[in-house]
Amino acid sequence: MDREKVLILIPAFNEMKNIMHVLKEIELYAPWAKVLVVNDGSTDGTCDILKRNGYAYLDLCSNLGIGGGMQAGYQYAVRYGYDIVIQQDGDGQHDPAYIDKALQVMEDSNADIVIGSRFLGKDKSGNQSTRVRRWGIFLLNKLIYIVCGVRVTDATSGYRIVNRKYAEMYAYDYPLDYPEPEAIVTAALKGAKIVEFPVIMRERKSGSSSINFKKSVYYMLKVVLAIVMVKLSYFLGGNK
Amino acid sequence: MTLRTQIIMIIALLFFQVELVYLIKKKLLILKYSLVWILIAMLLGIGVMAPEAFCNFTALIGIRYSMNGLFLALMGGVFLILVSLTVIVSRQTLRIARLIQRVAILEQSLEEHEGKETDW
Repeated sequence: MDREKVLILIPAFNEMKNIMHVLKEIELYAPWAKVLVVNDGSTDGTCDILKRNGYAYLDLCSNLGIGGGMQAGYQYAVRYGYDIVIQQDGDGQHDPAYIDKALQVMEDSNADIVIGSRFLGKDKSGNQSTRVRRWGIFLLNKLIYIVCGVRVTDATSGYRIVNRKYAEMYAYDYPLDYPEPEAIVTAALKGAKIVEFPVIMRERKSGSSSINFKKSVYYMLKVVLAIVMVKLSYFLGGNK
Repeated sequence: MTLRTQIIMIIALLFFQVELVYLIKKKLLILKYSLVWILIAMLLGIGVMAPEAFCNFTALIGIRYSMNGLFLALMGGVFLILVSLTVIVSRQTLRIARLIQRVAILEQSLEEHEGKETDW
């Protein structure tokens, strides 16, 4: 695996307080990787910090949502010929200490997509989310299994490693909002080998999650509908 | 339907068609998005000029009172327009997203290029 062809993608929306810590940590654990922050229309000066400190970033002039931001990153990766894309959240929840392990898992298992799961390992010390959200994730995991036969334990995890083939697919087709479960289904239906490995996720370094109760209900409705529609489109249109 | 009502409705429809043509000519309405309106205006025109045909049609599909058939047809028209508007909005959303992504990538590439030139 050519490490110069690895791109670490960090979507960031108003992460001024967290982003520098995240970037410093990544420099510590993966100094060989190219890091690209996708500033998704932040209004808090995230972009200024990146510029001042000389980090590479894409500055989206309007907020597209995490999916739109990630897709911009995938387009960048494809345009500049990266072989592997690693997704890391900009809020510090994902520990970059796992990057080496994730790449190893990808190489050993010959997987197309590797997902860091907080529910897979025995150590439950990290951020395990609330009970209601865990139930929601459990239902999404089951739905994904029914729809495409892939067993995952953390469908909403944004800690992902994607190879070039599926980075190209995501550059062209990626959900604009709440993309994680739908992206698993899209890839699985195209024949991707998806493997999980255990991670311990941390609490946000600063600030609070933007997902409240109302958004959680919308999230579940949107994601369930999206998964069913992806399956239906696949069923009607074949493996194109 | 009385002859007077028919004449008033035909005039109203003509005004509507003229307004459509004016909007298209002034580039305030793109032709492809006006098609659904033209189609609905044409159907309304047929209904006004040959109301008995409309009554026969409603009877044929099992609607006892043609007035109910008229309401159903109007609701169908509104539904069609709303769906076509949603399609347009969705398409525009995707195109705007693509545009924003492309601009960001080009901007980054430009900055990198300018940075390299300055270093040199």
